[in-house]
Amino acid sequence: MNLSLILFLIGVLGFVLNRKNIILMLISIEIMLLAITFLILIASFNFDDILGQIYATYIISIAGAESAIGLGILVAFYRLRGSVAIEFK
Amino acid sequence: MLTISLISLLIAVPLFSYRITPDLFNRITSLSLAFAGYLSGFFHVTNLSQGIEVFLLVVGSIILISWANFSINTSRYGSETPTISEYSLLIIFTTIGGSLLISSSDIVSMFLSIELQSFAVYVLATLYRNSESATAAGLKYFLLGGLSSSLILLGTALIYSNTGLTHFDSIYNLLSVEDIDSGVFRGVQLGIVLIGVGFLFKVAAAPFHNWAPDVYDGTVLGLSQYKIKRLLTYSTISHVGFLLLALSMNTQESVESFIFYLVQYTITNVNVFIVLLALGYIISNTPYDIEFIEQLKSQFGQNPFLSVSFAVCLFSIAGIPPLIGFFAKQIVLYSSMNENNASFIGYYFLSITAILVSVISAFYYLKIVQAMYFEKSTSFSEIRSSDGERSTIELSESTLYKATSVSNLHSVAIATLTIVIVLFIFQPIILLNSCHLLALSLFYY
Repeated sequence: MNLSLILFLIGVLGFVLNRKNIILMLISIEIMLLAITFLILIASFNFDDILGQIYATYIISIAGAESAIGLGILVAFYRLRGSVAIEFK
Repeated sequence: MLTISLISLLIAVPLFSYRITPDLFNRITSLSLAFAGYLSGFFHVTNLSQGIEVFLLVVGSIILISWANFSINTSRYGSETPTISEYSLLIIFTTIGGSLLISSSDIVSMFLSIELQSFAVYVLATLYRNSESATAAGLKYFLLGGLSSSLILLGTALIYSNTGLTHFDSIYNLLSVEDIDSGVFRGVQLGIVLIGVGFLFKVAAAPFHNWAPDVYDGTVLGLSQYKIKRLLTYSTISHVGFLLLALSMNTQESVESFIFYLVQYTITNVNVFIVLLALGYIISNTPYDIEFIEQLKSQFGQNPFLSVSFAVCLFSIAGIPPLIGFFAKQIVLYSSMNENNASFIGYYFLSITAILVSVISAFYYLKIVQAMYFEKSTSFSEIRSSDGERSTIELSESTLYKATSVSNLHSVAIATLTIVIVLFIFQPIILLNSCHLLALSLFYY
């Protein structure tokens, strides 16, 4: 449990502290989702419960869809602007 | 019903998109949403979820009705006119996600329906993929939405890893026998707090609202603000504050006021946006909608009916007495002042703050009304198109009166909603009684 929470914190810090690259933010979101998947899997293994594993499978597929949408938006953004650098107004 | 139409649209959109016009798709989707509302929704869980679901479907139908059919030549704007055939598909995805979220009773289904809803909205925000502001807004929305849904997910994971349960009822049952100081209780508490933070992010409530104005302003539908959609977003943030005030008390009266406030605010806000769309079609005669308040100047002389209904909506949002918004605010404040409340003093403070804030925000709405009614418009109005380039378009009289692009259904929708807002005072029983019954069914079922 601690390992996955540390992974989640790495994801959050990568999301918050990163001010340059959008791809890194997408990767951080993925890290967060996978850390939570790991947490759920460990819990379901502890409880010997099948539901957590089903939940983890759902999360993995959702994460796939999410990164697909994110990359799609990113490609549209890149075509118009020519860079993936983000600037905060 | 909705699932069938979703599947048929999924098949029809890629196959026939060159022959069937997007208007037709929108009409079909609107009709199927209306029928799904008439046939009362998806799951029959409780009366409350069913009632709100029907309302959600009907509102989705109204939003699609007002999508205008364009007969202008699209060559000037590229292929990206507002009539995109995927639009209705995305609306139906969002609506299904919302109605599943209302009736979900399990952590897993809650998370899945949130994601279904928000993915469709991410794509909806980026629908004009040739406009830079739309993609930037969509990207920002996507990143913050991803962050908030992973917070929600962390909350659910903490609840699951502490209890091993996913059903809401089972969690409730476990917690009601659990010791308050135990580790399980603490873990679940932390998880619920995280879920709450994620949801507040999603609804753009006060501490987590900074993303919302940017997103709304960049997209299709969007305070010393001169940009109108930004202003409306700030007003949404303050109204969410009212809703949360009503929700936080959890008495029967406050639930009733919450439902009523939600219903009236949805009606008014839908009306504001479709009136804005109509004004945008008429003023600029392009797919681009209104961005600046300056563009609304002296619209009363040119489009009296539209500006009257717009002013009615703004007055209702501001809470001027004979309109529906006033009664909603009154009910919320009345239930917060009710002496049955346990923490009496705190809610007094909150209510006074809410009153002050709504008085201050009325100023901004009245400024729009003033611009519409009393200020002279310049014959050259500078319209900034949504991809950031400035183009000066002369608005000659002939263009102003050529109201071809507002369809009949659109004006019927505007008229109906405006009449609902104005005439609520004469027949308040229908809406108030249904809200009362829904609140009763929550507490005495």
